[in-house]
Amino acid sequence: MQETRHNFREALKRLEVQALGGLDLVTTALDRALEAVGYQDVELAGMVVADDDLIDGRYLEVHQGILSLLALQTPVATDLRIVAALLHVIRCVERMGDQCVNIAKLVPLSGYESPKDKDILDAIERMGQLARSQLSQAQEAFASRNVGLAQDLVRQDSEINRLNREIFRRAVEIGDDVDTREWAMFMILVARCLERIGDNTVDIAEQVVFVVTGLFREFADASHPV
Amino acid sequence: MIPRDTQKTDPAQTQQPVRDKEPVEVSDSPAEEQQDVSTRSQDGVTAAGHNVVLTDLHAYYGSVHAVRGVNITFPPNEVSAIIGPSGCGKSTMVRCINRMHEEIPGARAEGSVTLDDVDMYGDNVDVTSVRRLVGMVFQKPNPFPTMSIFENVAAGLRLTGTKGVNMRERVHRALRAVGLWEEVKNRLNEPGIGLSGGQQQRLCIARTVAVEPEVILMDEPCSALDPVATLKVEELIDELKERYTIVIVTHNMQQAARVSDTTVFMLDGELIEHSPTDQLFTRPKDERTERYVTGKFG
Repeated sequence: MQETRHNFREALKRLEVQALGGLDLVTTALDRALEAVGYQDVELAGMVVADDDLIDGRYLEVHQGILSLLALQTPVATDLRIVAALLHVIRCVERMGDQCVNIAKLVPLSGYESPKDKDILDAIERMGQLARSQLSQAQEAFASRNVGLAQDLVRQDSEINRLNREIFRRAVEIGDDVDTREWAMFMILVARCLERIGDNTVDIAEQVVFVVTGLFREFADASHPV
Repeated sequence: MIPRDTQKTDPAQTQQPVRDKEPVEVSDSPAEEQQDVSTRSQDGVTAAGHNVVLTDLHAYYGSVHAVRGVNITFPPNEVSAIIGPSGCGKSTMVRCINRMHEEIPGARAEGSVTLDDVDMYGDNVDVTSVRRLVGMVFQKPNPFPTMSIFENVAAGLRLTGTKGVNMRERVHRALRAVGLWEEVKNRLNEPGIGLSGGQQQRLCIARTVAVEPEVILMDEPCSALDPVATLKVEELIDELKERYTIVIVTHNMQQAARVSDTTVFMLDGELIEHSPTDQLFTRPKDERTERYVTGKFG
């Protein structure tokens, strides 16, 4: 039996590589945004904001590619599920890019010489590492259609959620100093962005299960916590 | 006219394998013992479609085993699409339903085909009445070239010997049912072949509908039509399913996706998968279906 639709298959593969490559762009943006937060590097933060155009451009490219593929090739079955999943993936990529921008924009606001709290900074750093590893795990799970690896992301994500709550608690108790409190409030916002990035990687993992099984099931959602 | 209640065939009889068919005798006056099953359609109970059940159906062309033990039910008021590569037996299977298959020299069928409780291959069943119950539309529009538009539609009624009906009314109703009335009402006496391809195909569907069958079989009904005519016929199919059981054979997978409620995938004479159409095209159950619909084998 001979395989047909060679060009279509190539185009679909290219589209997947492009979309999953978007996750690399997010990783770069995330690394820089966190470095900017850690070192109060306003210039680096500005680069994160400017370079978001790259991620937005990737979104438009993949989105257009998907529309063309749907219009010209009418994919069905697994092919159709991959196309639908890539639409979700690239949307998540775009959202995560925006979260990195949100983090970067907080850097100049939080002041050059503001007081800092080591517990909160450590927790932010840990959240950043987790978000980074979740990004690459979501990417690998999608590329290899690995359901087990995808489901494992939920476990990791609960750790990010826990740290997010911990930062909030610590910020509430941080004391009377106005500047410290203000800084802590900004860190709550940074933590919130990282928590959202974690959620987006879980969304991508859900798409992996959809591609493989044909069934969509949310691993966890706010109204039905695991 | 035989009342509906007396139509029940002996269960033992329906289990009988279909015997090899001699050339069919189409006589003007069917033999006494032959049951005219088609009169059922005039008892007023038949506005809704009927179940067509194939049980362990095998079809042969001489020594070629074209359909290999198919079991399937085509439910009423649904469009069932049959897809599969050329030579998979889909047309043959459908042609067994109205006993067209046996018309080919050396061809025979085994197993059973029942319409509700009537065994279509029963010894006492007249083949003309089977064709009246089970209408068929073919790939190429085939209006009778010498006949007018009106006569083309009436031809089905005349050929099946339907009597005691208002011919004019039946023809007009059939032309309305296929959406052709407005286009042809002022030229009913002009030749049918003067119509466009799409109109001709709808004319042929009107000829089928005029007989008021219970089941309509369509074998690639749009493959000779342009896209607009195709969409019109597809819309018509959707309207017709309110009254009939419809089985459509198509090479166009997108057409199957658009018009059918369930889709059957056949391969090498076997039924591989029968699923709701949206399911078959988004998450097929069988790996072979997946490979066929995604074009992973040609």
